[in-house]
Amino acid sequence: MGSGRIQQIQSFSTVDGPGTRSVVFLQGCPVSCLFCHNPDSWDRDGGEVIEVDQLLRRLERFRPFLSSKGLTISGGEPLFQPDFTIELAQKARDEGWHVALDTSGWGTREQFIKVAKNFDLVLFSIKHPLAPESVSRCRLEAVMDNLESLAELKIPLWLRYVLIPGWTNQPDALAELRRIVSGLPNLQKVEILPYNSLAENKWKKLGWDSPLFHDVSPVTEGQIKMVEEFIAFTPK
Amino acid sequence: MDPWRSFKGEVWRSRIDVAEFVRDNYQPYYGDASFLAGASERTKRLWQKCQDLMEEERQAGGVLKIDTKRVAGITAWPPGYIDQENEVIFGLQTDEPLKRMVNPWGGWRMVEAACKARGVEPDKTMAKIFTRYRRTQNEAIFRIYTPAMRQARSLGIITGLPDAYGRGRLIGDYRRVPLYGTAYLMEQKKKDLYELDNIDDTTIHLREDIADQVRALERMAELGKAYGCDISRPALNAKEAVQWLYMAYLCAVKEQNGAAMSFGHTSPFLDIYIQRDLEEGTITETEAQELIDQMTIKLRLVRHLRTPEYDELFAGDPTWITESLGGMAEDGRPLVTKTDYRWLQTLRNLGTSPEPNLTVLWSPRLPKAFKDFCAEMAIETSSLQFENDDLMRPIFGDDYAISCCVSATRLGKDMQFFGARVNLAKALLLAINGGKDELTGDSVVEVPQLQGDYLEWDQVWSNYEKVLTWLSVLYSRTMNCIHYMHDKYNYERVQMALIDSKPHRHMAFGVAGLSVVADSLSAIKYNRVKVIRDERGIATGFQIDGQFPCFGNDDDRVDGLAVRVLRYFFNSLSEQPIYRNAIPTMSVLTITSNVVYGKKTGPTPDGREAGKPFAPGANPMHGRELTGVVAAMRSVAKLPYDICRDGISYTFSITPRALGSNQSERTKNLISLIDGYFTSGGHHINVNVYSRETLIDAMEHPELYPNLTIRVSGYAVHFIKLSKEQQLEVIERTIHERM
Repeated sequence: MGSGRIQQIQSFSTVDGPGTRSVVFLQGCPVSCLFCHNPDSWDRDGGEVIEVDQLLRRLERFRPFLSSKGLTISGGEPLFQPDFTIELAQKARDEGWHVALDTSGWGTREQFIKVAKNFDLVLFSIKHPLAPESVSRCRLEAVMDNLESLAELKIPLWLRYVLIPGWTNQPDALAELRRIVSGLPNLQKVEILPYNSLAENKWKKLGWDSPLFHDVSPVTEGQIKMVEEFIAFTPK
Repeated sequence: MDPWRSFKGEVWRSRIDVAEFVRDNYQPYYGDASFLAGASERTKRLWQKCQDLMEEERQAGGVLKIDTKRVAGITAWPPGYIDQENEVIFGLQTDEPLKRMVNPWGGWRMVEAACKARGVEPDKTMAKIFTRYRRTQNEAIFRIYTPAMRQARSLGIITGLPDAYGRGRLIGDYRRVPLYGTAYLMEQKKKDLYELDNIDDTTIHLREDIADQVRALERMAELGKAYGCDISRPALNAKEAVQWLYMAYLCAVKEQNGAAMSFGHTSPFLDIYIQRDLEEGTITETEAQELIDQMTIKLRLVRHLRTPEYDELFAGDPTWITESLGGMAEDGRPLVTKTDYRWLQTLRNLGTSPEPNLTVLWSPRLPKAFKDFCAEMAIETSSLQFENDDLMRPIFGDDYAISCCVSATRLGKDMQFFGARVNLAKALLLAINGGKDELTGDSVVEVPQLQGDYLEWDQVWSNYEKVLTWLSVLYSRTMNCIHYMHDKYNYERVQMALIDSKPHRHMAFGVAGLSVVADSLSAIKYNRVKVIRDERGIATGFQIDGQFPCFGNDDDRVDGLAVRVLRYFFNSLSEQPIYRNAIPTMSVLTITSNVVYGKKTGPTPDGREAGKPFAPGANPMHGRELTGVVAAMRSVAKLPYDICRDGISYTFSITPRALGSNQSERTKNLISLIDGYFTSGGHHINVNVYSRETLIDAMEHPELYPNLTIRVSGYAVHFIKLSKEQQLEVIERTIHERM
């Protein structure tokens, strides 16, 4: 039986996939997004070591409270602990959880497929459709490759995109995003999320800084709506 | 006309048994809310007038008028009206709406302080009577308090004691008046009185009580007559049933200013009358709704004259007119009727309000439509609280109501001696500081002085046990003094006239600061806590390296400590002799007093700074529930109801978005959370659905939020009526959200 490192557990969420869900945030992430909300989850040696069964027993206690029994494995980057993620997803699924993987699409295609095929849904966060390295350490080629593999495997998919004025809202980026969206038959939902600076304190506690804290204006609801309309995604 | 025409059943006809009457006659309702009617024209006109008056009251600083000339009493005032032609249900506490009574029975000092705070001079003759000739409850209690009791009180170790205000908590079974009329009730009480003829203290005491009750019933009938209502006979129809019921309650709030004077569980009862009128074709749905709306208007106008100290403790001018809704009957039928919906509908017809304090007795087995409607209303109004019917019914049966905030009481059978609460966090500091008060340095209790720079678990716990044992003795004795004198000088003859002559009595003890204590003990046990002491040996601060488990994260290590403290303290209390052989119960409840308790408490080993508020009721401390709301609920649900039968209050706040993406999702998710919490053993939950931004805006622009109602521990308040300090504390509380 495997064990892994988790950063924290969130017992109730309505924003990490469909319905009501519990979320496990795994420790360790190589992607280092500038807008990360959990920078304290990056360190692969941090967090709490826990066995899969022990974790499932903790999660089990939350199930009677959830109107839909969803579990999202998030991070950190779950692909950074592939064996742990696979075992957790498989066992949770056997216990009747609807399991979702929240990922940046990091890792080799082979490994990504090995992990993703154990999930009912993948929440795929595209950092930037043309130049992901401008806001993270994701590599465009790997991300697109993994996105494609999900389509091939017909795994239900939600795309998430954080809108950061001046960083991810360039017209050519949004046009590329629209193109990607239109070519994914397994796509169920696109979430355009407004960037906010609520994580600034967490960064500062770690003694870190992000350029986003200095020159980004707040995102308005109108901007989100405009982008949504431009992307023009309708579920098939 | 036969008042009991077409009613079924026999038992209730030949003895007082409202529960049996309800069982025999009520019709459960399984449908949805679509039958409900809006407010009638009369109701709208009347309510507008009342709202104008309440705005005047707010602008006048919270009190509109005080009648200093009369002593509060059932028949002290001639009938009063708001707008007679639009009023359907009659009766005011005084002769004018929102005019407050002077109630000197509890204590003259309070009358003086309350009048002074409002710039009014109390009447000189009345002052003379209540200081020279007539002893009051307050004076009598203070004469017999020991120095230790006075010290614990002034240091804030035992707080909020009903020694300077009416203890409240009693619910007369007001339904008895419409069903039987006061004449029959009086006859029965006289029978009880004459059957008791032993010449011993206990019996004579009880006989005097009953004799007082008989007098109260006489006066009640007199008041009815003055308003043109012959309540000596049973009610003939729905309108009379509502009027008689309210008249009985009105008598109680005319004579008593108890902190919490609850209404009961009246829906199934009233529904029987409304249903009969609907079937007889003498009433329409709009008229039925009008009765409930207009009664609710009257309940929203109940006022008492309070001192500034009282207001600081119980913010927002509350009266705790708690009305219980829903619940399941013991035979498996839901106790839900159309009138339960009508009560909830008042929140739409009249707008949200803290009063009456609507409380849903919840079971996962309630009809789905009713659960949906309650959840919708909770989300829309933040004015509802929910209590676990499946937990309470096996103990209290199905004819109980919630008294005050969260305490179950059997209607017409039980009474409660309200016991306020002790500050568990201060008690822990006594254990750490060698029995000295951390703020004044006064010696309070003898325990060994702890040695060394670090707190050792074994030593702290051993001292804490000693302090809790000492406190349970002092606390129970203090309560005995208070209730002996309250019975003697400020007896609630109206409510007691509507309760069986030999009631079951509960002594309702309480605790505050539980999560602070649990986290502090956890820090000591699972981490190292360094103490910084001054020259007197008193801790002025604590240093903690690293993390420790905090209450509210479903972590058994710390949740178990909270349970351990409760069990230890309750066991000690249970060993103490209690006045009138009352059965001890305990609550984990603070109302808004968590702010005041925090103010009077030095720094605690959990890292809480001196003077900072506690979490309300049984809540985890603000910002320490890192694993989200379900984990927090699981922690609270572990607190044992078997010893905390007076109630365990949990206040839950969430943003609309965090609860779900649309209305139907939010309703579904809320129901699931409540079902989960209650099946896990949770007892009570306040539901608030709002964003922090709304509250901040309401602080800055109170005029835009006259009705913004929020749930605090065990009751609801108008947010804008809270003090600045209390408002900030509410904003500081954990509002569950996920970005």
